Amino acid sequence: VSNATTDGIIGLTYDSGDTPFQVSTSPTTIYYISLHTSMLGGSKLKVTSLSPITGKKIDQYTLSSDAEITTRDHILFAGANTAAPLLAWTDKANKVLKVNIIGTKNVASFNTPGDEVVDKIVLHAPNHINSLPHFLVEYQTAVGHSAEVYHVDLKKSTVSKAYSLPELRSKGTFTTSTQDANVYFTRVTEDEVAVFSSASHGVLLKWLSSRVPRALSVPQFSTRTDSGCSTATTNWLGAVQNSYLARYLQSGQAFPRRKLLLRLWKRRATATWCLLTSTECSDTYKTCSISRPGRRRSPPSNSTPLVSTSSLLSQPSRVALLRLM
Amino acid sequence: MRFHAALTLAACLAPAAAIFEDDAYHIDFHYALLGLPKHEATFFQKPYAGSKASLLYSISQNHTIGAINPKDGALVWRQHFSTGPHAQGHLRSGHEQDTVVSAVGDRISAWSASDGRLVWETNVGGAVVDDLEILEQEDGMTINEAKDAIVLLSGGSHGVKRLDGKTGLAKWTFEDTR
Repeated sequence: VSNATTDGIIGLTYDSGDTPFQVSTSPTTIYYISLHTSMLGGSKLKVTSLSPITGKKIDQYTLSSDAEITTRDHILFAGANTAAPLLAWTDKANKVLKVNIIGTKNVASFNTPGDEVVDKIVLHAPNHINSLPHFLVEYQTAVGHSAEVYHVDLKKSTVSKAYSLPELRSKGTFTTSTQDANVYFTRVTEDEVAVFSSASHGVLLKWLSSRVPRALSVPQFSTRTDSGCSTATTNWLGAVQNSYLARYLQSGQAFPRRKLLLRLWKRRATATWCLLTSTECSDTYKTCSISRPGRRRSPPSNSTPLVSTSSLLSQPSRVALLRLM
Repeated sequence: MRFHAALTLAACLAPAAAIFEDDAYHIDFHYALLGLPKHEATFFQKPYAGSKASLLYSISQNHTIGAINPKDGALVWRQHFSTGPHAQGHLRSGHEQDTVVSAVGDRISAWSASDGRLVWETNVGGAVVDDLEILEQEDGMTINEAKDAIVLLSGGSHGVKRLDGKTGLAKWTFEDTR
């Protein structure tokens, strides 16, 4: 890029329009992805595959993407460390979603939901090499959000839509978690938290957030869980199957927290969940948890200030993580 | 006597009830020590292979790396980089590794995941690290030793480097000559 400015007078600057963008690995190859800006404006995605052992170039190709990509911002995702590393981008109007399995030249094209203007598209995918190659595309509109789940067929190198999650007229977000090869998506909205399997659209677990800390109900948050967390999530799913809690959840009633805690207390089980939030304006990290019933937690021994729930309410908050155990 | 028994019972019950009313749904811990965490660089990781519990690792937008105990929010360790606000920060960790690897500006560092001690540090003088990944597999086989880091460089020279997971020394460099 520096050449572009110094050589500008000579007029031979167009060739130096390559901008390194991302590096991705697959089980056998390292992919170096750069944006190649052409003379006519618009950019092409250039993929260079490298041998992990020698670092030598194996192959190089460009994806015909110049009609869509005008800036880096239109690239949604370049997956790393997955069985199927992906590149995904959109056009300017967020009407078309393009997906490429890195290492192949095919570009799959999907129309985004057409009812409302899509403001933002976010791609959620597991980043474990052993996970199923499933991913979720979140569409945010001015009035709400919806999502679509896609599956990648590694043998045929195709991407296909598996199912859609209906649009909700509220702010919300998604998070990915994995257990072994299984992939789970958690949808967090102002009203409820629901867990789906990547394989089918049935709700595995759902609870209303009327009793969830108010920090959750502030819009503009994003969540994230990991494998350790999701293992816990699925253990939890197993543990509560056909239990008191599961029946309550299925009936869609408000979370009977006190009864649940008493129940778990009697069974000497633990119900812990933890939220990690950070506020945009004060740049802080916060965690809150419901701890094991029957044991009162002593305040932290160091001089950490305690923050009450009410002080959170006044700040736009971002949930960085949702942990279920 | 019956009244005393009822009073005793009430005294026993009161704290138990208070747990439900007081403890839940309150923020218990607050840390102003990290800053706004970066979405793609906030993850759970076991501090060493075989550990029962995971810690939460994050790099924030002001380039502070921290390990947090997700059980109670306790900060286990923290490292801060005083670099320009425009430098990108990256944080990654390989599966079953006892280190987390960070890249901020031109500095790539590996930290002991359990206590935050510096394991190795390397500098890619002049260039800027644009992306960082951990090489989990090679030739389709999972790597069992210290996993190597792959860094994407821009700025001075464009290219990709593979850094030894134990020492941080470059195993190879691919230079993008365009």
